[in-house]
Amino acid sequence: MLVFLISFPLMIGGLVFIVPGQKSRNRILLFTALLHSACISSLWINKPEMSLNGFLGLDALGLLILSVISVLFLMVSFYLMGYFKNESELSHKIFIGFLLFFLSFMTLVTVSRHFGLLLIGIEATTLSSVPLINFVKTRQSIEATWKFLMICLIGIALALLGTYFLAVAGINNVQSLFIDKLVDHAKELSLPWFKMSVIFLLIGCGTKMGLAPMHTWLPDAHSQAPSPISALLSGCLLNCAFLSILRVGQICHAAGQTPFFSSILILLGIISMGVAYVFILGQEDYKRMFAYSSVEHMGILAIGIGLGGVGIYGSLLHVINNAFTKGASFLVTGNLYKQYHSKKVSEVRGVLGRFPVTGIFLLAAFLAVSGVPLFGTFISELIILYAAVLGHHYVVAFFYCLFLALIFISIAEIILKMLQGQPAQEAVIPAPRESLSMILPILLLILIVLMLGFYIPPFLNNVLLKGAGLLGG
Amino acid sequence: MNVWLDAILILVVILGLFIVSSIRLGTMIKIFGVQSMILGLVPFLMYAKDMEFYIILVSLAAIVLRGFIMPYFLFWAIRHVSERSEASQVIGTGATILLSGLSVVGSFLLASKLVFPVPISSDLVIPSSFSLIIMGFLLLVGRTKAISQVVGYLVLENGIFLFAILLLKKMPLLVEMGILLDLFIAAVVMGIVVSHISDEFNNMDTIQLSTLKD
Repeated sequence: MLVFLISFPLMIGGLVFIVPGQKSRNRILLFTALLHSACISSLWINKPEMSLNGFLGLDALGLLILSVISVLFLMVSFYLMGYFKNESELSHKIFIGFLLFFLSFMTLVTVSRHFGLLLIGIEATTLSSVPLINFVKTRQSIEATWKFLMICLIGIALALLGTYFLAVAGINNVQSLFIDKLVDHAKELSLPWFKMSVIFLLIGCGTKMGLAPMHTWLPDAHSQAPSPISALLSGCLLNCAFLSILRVGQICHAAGQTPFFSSILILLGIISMGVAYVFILGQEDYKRMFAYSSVEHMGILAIGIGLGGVGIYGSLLHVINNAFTKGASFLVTGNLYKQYHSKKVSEVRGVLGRFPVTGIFLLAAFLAVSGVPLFGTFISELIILYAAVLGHHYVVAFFYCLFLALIFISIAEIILKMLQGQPAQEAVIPAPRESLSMILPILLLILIVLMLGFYIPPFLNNVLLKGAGLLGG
Repeated sequence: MNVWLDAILILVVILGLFIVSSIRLGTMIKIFGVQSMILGLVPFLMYAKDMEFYIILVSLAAIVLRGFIMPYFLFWAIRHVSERSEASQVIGTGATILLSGLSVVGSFLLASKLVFPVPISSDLVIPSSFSLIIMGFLLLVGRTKAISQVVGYLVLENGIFLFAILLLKKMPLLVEMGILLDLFIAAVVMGIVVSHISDEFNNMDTIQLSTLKD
C-alpha cells in the first residue's frame, strides 16, 4: 500500500510527459490527487503494514502530516484547473509532471522509517520543486530559485552530516538508522556525538522548514512561485521538514535529552517570530507578507514542540490549522494576482468593492492567519500559550504574546488597506470573475479551519494524542 | 598502508587550499576533479585488509561521478562565459587562505575533543573532513560567481563523503548509493539553473541576483 502510494504519482508524473492536451493533463492531475486522498483516508481505518524491510511505515505523526499534504494537494490541483485557463503559452507538461513527482516524494518523507531515506526524500522534494518555483522564468524567479536551491542543498548537506554523526553515536550498539531502533536504544548512544548530530540535524532541517535565521530562501521562493505552488510549499513542504524535526525530537525524548532539544527549538522559534514581525511591518508585497507569516507560524510550531507537554498537542493541531490557512491565503493571493496583475500592496485597492468574493476570502484568510477567535488557529495558539504558562516559561510566553499581537496589527494594517479604498483610475480594467474552481478550494479550506475552531473530531483527536505521546506530550 | 592513507589525506587538504586560493574558474574545477579522484582512493586504502565488493563499487562511483562527470558538466555550464575569473570577491584571496589555514587548525582541535567510538585506521580522516567542509563554506560565502559557489558546495560534499567513508561498513549500501545519486541530480539541476542564469544575465555573477530583498 505504502509503496503504491509513492510509486503511482511517480509513474503518472512520468506519463504526463507523453500525454497530449492541456485539459487531459489537468484531469489526470485531479484524478491522481483524488486517488491519493482516497488511499490516505483508507489508511485512517486500517493501519498499513511495514513494507520494504521496515524502511516504510506509518505512525501517527506520519499519518497526520501525510493527510494534511494529501488534502491540500487535492485542493490545489482542483484550483489549478481554473488557474491555468488563460495561460496556455507556458509549458505545463513539465509543471504537472514535477507536481506529481513532488507529491510522491513528500509521501516518501512522511512514510520513511529510516533517517537516510528521510533525507533522500527531503532532498528529492527540493529538487522536484525547482521547476515549479521557476515556472515563469523571469529574472526574479530565477534569482529566487537559485537561492532556494543553494540554501536548501546546503541545509540538507548539514542534515546529512548530522545523520552521519548519529550513526557514529550508535556505532557500537545500535548500528542502524532505523527510527524505531534508534528510539529503542536511545539511551546507549554516545552523548557528545549525539548532541552534535542533534545540532546539525536541527540546523539542516530548520533551514528547509524556514526557521530564522536560516529562512532567507523562503520569502523569495514563496513570492516568486505561482500562487498554487506557494500554497503547496508553505502547507506541505515546510511540514515535511517539520516532520523530520519531530523525528529528531522522538529520539531526543527517548534518550532523555529533551531539555537540550527544547532549548534550541524555543530559541529558534522566538527568533523566527521576531524576524517575521520585523519584515511584515510595512511590507510592500502581499505574497512576501504571507511568506513571512509562514516563518512566524513555523516559529510557533517550534516553540510548541520545545515547550513539551500540552504544547506538543497544540503544535500538532497547529500543523493542520496552519497548513490549511496558509493554503487558503496563498490561493487567495493567486486570485488577487489574476485580478490586479500586481503583487504590490499599493496597487491593490478596493478588493471588497470590486471582487466581493475574493475580498471576503482575503478577510477570512487574514483573520485565520492571525489566529482570531472562532478559527482553529486561535485554539492551537492558545494551547501553546497555555503550555508556556503551565511550564513557568513566562519569558517565552511574554515574547510569544507580544509578537503575535504585533504581527496581528501589522498584517491588519496591510490587509485592510487592500480591502478598502478606491482602485487607481488606470487600474480599472475589466477583470475576469473568479471561476468556480478558484473559489471552492479556498472556501473548503477556510471551512475546515473554522470547524477545527469549534470541534475536533474524535478520530483526529486520537491521532493527535498518539502523535504527542510519541514525543512525550 | 597507514602512511599512504595519511599522505593522501594531506594531499586532499592541500588541494582544498589550492581550490580556495585560485580565482580562475577552470583551475578550480580541474583541481576539484583531481581532489575527488584522490578522495575516491581513500576507501581502497582504509579497507585494504577486508575488501568487499560494494566498497569497490562506491569508490568507483565516487571517482567517476565527482572526478569526471561533474567537472565535465561544470565546464559545459561555463562554455559560453567569457569572463572566467573571479573578479570581485566578498572575502579576498589572502583572507580566504588565512581562514582556511585557521580552519585546518580548528578542525584538528575539534577532532581531538571528539573521540571516535571505534578505532579508525587514521587520525587524519576526521580533521581533513572538517577542514574540507569549512573550506566549502568559505567558497560559498566568499565567492560571487554561481559556478564558484557550486564548486564550494561540491567541496563541502567531498568533506561529508570523506566522513561517510568511516561508516561505509556499518551503513547499508542504499544510503551510500542514494547520496551519490542525489549529488548527481543536484549537479544536473544546478547546471540547468546556472545555464538559465547565464542566458538571462550573460554573466553568472550572483551579485546581480539582488533584486529580491526587503
